Amino acid sequence: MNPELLAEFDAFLARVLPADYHERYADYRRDEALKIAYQAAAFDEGWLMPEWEGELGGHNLTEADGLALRIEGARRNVPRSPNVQGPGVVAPALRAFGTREQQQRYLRPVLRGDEWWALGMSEPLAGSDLASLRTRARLDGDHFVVDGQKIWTTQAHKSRWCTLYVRTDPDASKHAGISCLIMDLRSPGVDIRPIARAAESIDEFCEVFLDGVRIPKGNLLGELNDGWRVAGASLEHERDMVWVNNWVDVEHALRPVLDRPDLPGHVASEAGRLLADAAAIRFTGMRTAIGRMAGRSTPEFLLLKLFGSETAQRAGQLALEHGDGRADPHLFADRMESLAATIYGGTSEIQRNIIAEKVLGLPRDR
Amino acid sequence: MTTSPSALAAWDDLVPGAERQELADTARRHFAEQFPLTGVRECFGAGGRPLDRWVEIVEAGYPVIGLPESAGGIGGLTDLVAVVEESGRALLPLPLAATAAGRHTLIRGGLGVPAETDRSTALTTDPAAGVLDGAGAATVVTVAVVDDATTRVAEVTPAGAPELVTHVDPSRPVARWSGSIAEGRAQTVDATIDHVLAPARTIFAADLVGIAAGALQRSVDHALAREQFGRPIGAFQAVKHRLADHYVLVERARSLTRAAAVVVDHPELDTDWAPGVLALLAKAAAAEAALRITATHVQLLGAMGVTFEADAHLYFRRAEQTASVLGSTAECQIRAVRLMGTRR
Repeated sequence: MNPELLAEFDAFLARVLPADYHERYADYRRDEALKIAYQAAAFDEGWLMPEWEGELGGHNLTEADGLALRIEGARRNVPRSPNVQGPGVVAPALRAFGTREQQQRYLRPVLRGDEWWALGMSEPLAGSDLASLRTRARLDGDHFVVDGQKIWTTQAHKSRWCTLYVRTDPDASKHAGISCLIMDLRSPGVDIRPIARAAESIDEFCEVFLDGVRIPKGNLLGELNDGWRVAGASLEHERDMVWVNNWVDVEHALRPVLDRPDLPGHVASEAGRLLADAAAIRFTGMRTAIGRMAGRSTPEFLLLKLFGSETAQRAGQLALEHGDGRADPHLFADRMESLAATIYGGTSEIQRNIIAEKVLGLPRDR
Repeated sequence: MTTSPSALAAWDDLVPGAERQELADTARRHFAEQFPLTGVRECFGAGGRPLDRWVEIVEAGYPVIGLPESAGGIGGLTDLVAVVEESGRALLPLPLAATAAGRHTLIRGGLGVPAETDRSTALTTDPAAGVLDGAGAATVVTVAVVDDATTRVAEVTPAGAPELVTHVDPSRPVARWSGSIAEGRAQTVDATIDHVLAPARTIFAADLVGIAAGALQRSVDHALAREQFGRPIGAFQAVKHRLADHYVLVERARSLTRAAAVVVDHPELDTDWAPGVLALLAKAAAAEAALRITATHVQLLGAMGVTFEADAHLYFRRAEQTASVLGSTAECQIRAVRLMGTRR
């Protein structure tokens, strides 16, 4: 990566972040107003999606340079998007599957953060077994009419739009009858109820009840009954940011522990294992990115979510037990948050099934 | 132009290119065809190890990979670890890892490598305790701490036949010389012992990654073939989740080993760790992976796993014999943390 570009990025950060940002990062990392302002500024100046074109918050970088810049950003603790699934999942899905009209209407506001998005995936009876979802859409003239219920829908109450996964062909096999609809969360028949969280560091989530909600036919994202592919492909776009953030979070949690001069041997050993884990997340992530860009198969990609999220949990636990401030509320918040990360986006158990079946070739268990 | 440590191109060697992949594939076929596990089993008999076959390893050119061109070398440490991983997978009963570790440590010590001979080299930090895979070695490289920032590297020529302490793996015994040892060349370098040992630890890490990967593949093969309750045991989550975790352990160690090799080849990239730390972490991770995965391999075979006939104990013995060379997992982890602490 060209060093001038990095210098330009640093100058941008110096201009938009508060002077005491790095000093008081523990406070700022949960500052929603700052995150909102940062996302808009990063979009306007082309640092949000470095590989994309200028009109869409980008710098036209190659994939390799774009990832390098994202890594440098993460290492500098740049504020993460307050509605991370907007630019992280929805925007790439719109770009890959959206019609020209859909892209024109939705891309800029989702990237800039002007309109937030929710992912309508989990249901009360469809969690790990997502493909068994039952929320149903039937065509009525030029509208879909939707009935059903979603749950654990992150930030639904603050979002304007939702990528809603619905069953459009009840007779097809369970993966084949699903479609993705773009739903206006202000539509009549949508009832959003926030769920009380165990701690404020857990992303806000909601139940979403859908009763005869009418969604224009033109809001179908991707092909009819091709929603399973849209879901899989759009979640993949987050793949690099997940490991980059896990790596940075683990190093961040470890730093105060490593700084303690009097670490007992068994704690130093566990800290050393985590030092290895952090570096292994980094280099495994880089292996997958380098391999992908060279057109190689990179099965080790499939371990990153499991390994990254579980390592973050152990790092959080070590920091809480052996850092400077015992039971420090910031560390507790991180630790609590890390317990959610092995559930959302596919539980650790599902990740192990995927590794065993897709990488090791072991038989399916169901 | 300076290279940013995040620039992916700088770390390209984390993924083998076509040439290195070909090298590794060739080595894998060579070891599988010429050195099947029956050779490891023969080490349990009176004949001992096939040291007379070391010349075949020399002729294949493996020991000079990664050495300077002035010493007849070719390629980098990243190429060497790809080959050593294959020798680990094959449980090669010859001292390739020890030889490479010894010679790369000589280079680190500024001593240069003697011209290729038909005899091996070995390495130790504790001559009294013995030398892993030292039998047949023309010279043994010794490494000793002078103080926190200074390390002494010497080359000694052992006299006479060593006593072989087989410990647990007769295909990789420890050699101990009781008589006087003639010290040859020696040099004191301004570097921590961990910096000096970085290539050697990386090489043994590659060996352990290979052992772990070989045992994991055999566990997977068994989990697919063995049926109970009317289905392959690999269909049960109790088995498949354990193997998925082991896959993570192998790739974790492999990523660290490759990264440790990259920073030996390209020291300018080693900006985020104290010198030698990545090799400590790689060695720690590889030893952990090898110990856990080979033990599980024994278990997964059921009663068959504790028979002499099954190969599982060969992997387990090799892992146990090698895991603590140049420091156990815990020792390497603690050392890495202390080095990172003093760095600030």
